[in-house]
Amino acid sequence: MGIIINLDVMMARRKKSLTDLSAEVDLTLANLSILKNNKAKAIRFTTLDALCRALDCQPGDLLEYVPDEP
Amino acid sequence: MQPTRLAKLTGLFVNFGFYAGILICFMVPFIIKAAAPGYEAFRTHYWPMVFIFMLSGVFGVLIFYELKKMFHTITARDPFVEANVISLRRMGGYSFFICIIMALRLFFNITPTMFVLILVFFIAGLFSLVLSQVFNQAVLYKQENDLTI
Repeated sequence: MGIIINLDVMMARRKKSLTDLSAEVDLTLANLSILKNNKAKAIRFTTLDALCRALDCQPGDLLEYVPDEP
Repeated sequence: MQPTRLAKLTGLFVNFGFYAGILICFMVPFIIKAAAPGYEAFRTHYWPMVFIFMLSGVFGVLIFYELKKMFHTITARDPFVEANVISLRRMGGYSFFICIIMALRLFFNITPTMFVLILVFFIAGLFSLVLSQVFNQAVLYKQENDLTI
């Protein structure tokens, strides 16, 4: 599984839609969707910084490590 | 951003090569017949020469066809795609085929130019295969970059 991005969880907690978040963090809906669906290969610190600021959370709230099944 | 002068010129050459190649392929029997008075090999081995040159011409046109496809991706500013990796691999294969077909001439007529052509197409084949590997790596890097948010 690896690193999971719990963006949808944080968005639900802060009651923000993808469109609102996209405008706040200056990311396209397509890129946010890639993040939300765990299709991203990497995330820039600047993006993580913008997301944490917009969602008022810590990186650990957004990123979760799930070990691969043996 | 407009394509550069060099890019436009390259595109012209590729298109010209493709269409001229098709025409020349059809004309090979007539060209060899016309050149026969000057070359004994063309007189004594007319049909084998027609076969060798036509087949080489077909693969040459196929190389131009792959170049044409690649050039469209370059003008679209998206050259690092899987399709170009496949095109380069095919071009390598076609070059090796031309090399083999040219080598068939050894049975009919041996000239120094023939060896040069065989070597040139062998090197072109190797070059295309190596470039396909380079493009393959570039495609992986691009995918990695596209999925870096």
